[in-house]
Amino acid sequence: MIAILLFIVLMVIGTPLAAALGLGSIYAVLDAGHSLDNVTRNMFSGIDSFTLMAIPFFIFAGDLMLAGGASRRLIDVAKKVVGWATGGLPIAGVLSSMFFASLSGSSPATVAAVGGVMIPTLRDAQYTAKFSVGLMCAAGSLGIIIPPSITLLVYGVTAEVSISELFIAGIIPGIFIGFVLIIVSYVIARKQGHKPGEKSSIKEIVRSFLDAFWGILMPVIVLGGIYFGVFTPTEAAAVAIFYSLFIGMFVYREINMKKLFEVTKRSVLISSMVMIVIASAQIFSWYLTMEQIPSDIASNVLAISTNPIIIMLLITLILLIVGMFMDTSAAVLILTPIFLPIVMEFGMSPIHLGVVMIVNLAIGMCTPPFGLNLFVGAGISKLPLATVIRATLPFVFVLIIALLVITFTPGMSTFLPSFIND
Amino acid sequence: MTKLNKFLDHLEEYFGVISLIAASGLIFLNVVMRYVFSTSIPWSGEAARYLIIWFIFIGSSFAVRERAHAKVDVLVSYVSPRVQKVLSILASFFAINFCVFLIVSGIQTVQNVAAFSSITPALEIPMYIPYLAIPVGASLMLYRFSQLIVEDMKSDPNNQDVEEDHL
Amino acid sequence: GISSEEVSEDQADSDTNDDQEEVSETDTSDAEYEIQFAHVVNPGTAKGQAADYFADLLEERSDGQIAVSVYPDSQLGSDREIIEQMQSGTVEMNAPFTGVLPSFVPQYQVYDLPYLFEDREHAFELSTGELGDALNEYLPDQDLRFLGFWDGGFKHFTNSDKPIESLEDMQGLSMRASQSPLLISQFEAWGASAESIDLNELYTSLEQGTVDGQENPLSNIVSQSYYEAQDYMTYSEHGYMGYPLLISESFYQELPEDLQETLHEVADEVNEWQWEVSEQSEEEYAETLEEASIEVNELPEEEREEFREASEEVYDEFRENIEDGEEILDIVEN
Ligand code: NA
Ligand code: NA
Repeated sequence: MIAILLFIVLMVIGTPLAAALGLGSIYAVLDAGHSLDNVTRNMFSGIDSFTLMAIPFFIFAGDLMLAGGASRRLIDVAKKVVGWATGGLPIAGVLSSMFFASLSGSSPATVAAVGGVMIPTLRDAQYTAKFSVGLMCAAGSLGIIIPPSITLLVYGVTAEVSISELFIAGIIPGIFIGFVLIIVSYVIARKQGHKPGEKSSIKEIVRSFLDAFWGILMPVIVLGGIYFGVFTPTEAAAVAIFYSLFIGMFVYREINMKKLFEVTKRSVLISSMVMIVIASAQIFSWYLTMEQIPSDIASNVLAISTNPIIIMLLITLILLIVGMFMDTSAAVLILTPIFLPIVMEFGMSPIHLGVVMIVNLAIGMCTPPFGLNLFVGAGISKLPLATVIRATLPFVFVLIIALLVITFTPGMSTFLPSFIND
Repeated sequence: MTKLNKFLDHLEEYFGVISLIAASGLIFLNVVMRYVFSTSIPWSGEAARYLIIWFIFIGSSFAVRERAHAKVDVLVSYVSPRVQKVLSILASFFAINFCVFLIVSGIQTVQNVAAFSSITPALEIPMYIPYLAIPVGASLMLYRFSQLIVEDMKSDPNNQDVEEDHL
Repeated sequence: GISSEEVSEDQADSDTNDDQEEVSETDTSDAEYEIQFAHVVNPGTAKGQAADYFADLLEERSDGQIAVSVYPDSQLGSDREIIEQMQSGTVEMNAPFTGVLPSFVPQYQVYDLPYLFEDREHAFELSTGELGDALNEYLPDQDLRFLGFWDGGFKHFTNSDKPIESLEDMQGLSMRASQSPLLISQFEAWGASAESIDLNELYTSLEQGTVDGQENPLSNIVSQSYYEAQDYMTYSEHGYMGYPLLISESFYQELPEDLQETLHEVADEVNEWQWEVSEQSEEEYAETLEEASIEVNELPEEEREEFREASEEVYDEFRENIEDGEEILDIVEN
């Protein structure tokens, strides 16, 4: 309790999040009688991961795409193709996030890659900074909902459920959320009075397309590479770096050595900022596990009712709260063994529970104080975190409504997997 | 003092830049080796991971200097510049506390790991070398946070448009 | 906060969901010694079940003087991280995969050698007997003590290319190997290429064909769903996977003699139990595979001989690079 209070006070006075989370956790760890060396050990293990390396890599690749002129040309195509429609650009942003989510298993990486390009573009097109950042942070949550998904994988292993079925189960809910965000983009764009852009001639579209050819090839290489098994997502991120570097230096010739140094410096800065918070969060997560706190809380709360609807609402509430403070994989590992037997009692499919948990925790990535999408959003937009949080909040409500629809429509998750059972 | 600062600035920047390029380069090279020479570099993943860990902790010190670390500044943006200045100093003070814990804890971990002379599986380097990133990075951060305090002390709170123009 | 009484009640509640009925709950709120037993696998596997059984049995036999909390599923980190926590006094027990131990005791690389054991009995006798004792010599320097050896089963090949019927079929396959240098040499000695792919990404890599195949015992092939991502499985029994049951030496020394005895008694009993459960679950896993779409074949004995002969250079590498390697191999070969 004191630890959480300490954390909140430190956070509110503006202490860097990594330090606030870290000090709160250190207090808790020492107070529970554990030795201090667990602190560094957990910070280390929190970021010692081949999979997480994709975060700095995709941030770097995104920066290089931007600096090398590839992003500008790509967006030019998007503008020419969908810019004539009301809300065309933000819709293109959501579609790009869905597209990228099918490449990456991580939400923050999706925010970094798509947001890094789309936020400046949206702002160029007179969309407000808040709308641009909020939309991209929310759309980034698709990263772990649309397969492949690191979090679904962890769930599948914990719940002993087929991972292929789980991955397929994520497709419809993911597309549904994307669709909802597209509608929201359209409505907001309309309400804010964004005029549709000019219609471009076929000739202009073809010219912009040819100009952006090398940029367009990049997602093709990354997407194709992962789907056809040429490389793993982390490897794909590294390939993306060298591909964008190559076209930036030798094709578009917009990157020289001096610019490369500046771009890399920026990526170092943003990646460190994101990763150090993940490292600090791991101390707290370890402490919670060690003291078996999440399971105690969950079993107390779930003793309240046996009505399936109330239980699902309670599970949603617990997940939303846990998602505010914890890393998704850690939350899945700790909560799955508690929730699974309860929902099995009233005949819910473990596949559906997995999807519900993942959508919940994906929303958690957009909620303060610990929301990876928010940190990445703040990093790439250079906006204060407080602004990013306020900007994302309306979208969080939209996501929660979508979540409730998904929770109480099990068919959305179980429809596609039912085909591979036969 | 300025000489030391200049040196540290360059050290952090070059270290971060080189290790990010090297880590991604290793992973890229491994892909190339697999398809062109149908072999692989067994230690590439491990080396990249440890390079990334080192760069995160050194880069974090760089981020302190740039005041780039993620923080929740909802409340701070509502108070007067004078109070903001005090809170900023207070925040750095707590961050320094965190660094002290990290240094002590990091040295403990490094000592524990070194005492059993365990090695990493692929590179077969002593396991304390990757862990050393934490006390080293935390020491640099401590120095940077102290610099921020000095900077804040000297600054005139009435003459500061704290990043408001971003909104 | 939550008082310790509430905690133990909640644990009793959640335990009723498990299928562990043999042992009744003991009130451990005033235990004198606490053991945190961390491991990296699912509680449902033979190793996971054994850890829970060990916890219950030890609490019971020590009349509640020792309380044991089990942390499954890598909740407290990877095997390497758990061992480091044992060395620094945060965690007391683990049953790590032998493949992780070479970072601490290089001699454990002996378990990475292909076709080291003839069959299950051979693996059991040596690992809980002479070989276990010999390797145990190196453990006190790491502040670790050996209490027993749990079974993980023999490793088999799976791949997405073709059934492996002879050494020929390995040519040109890309196989995932853990970072052990000997496992990489093993695949290269057989004409395949070895890829070091992180375990977290193995499933996706197999499904998407980043690598053609991998090696694992049935327990992992089934519980990690690798069989769903692959088309062929070959019963090759080309390697062995096991888990030494380890306790922190410092903690062990703190225990009074009678509790040390109880500990060994319980460890021995659970050891036997674990090997039985493991054998039973192997049969269940095999049934799962028969019903699945994966095509299963057996590597004939005369073809296994080819693999054995081709492995000689891996044995030489072990002998040359590992201190006391020769002596350790002598134990196995006699
Ligand atoms: Na995804
Ligand atoms: Na959150």
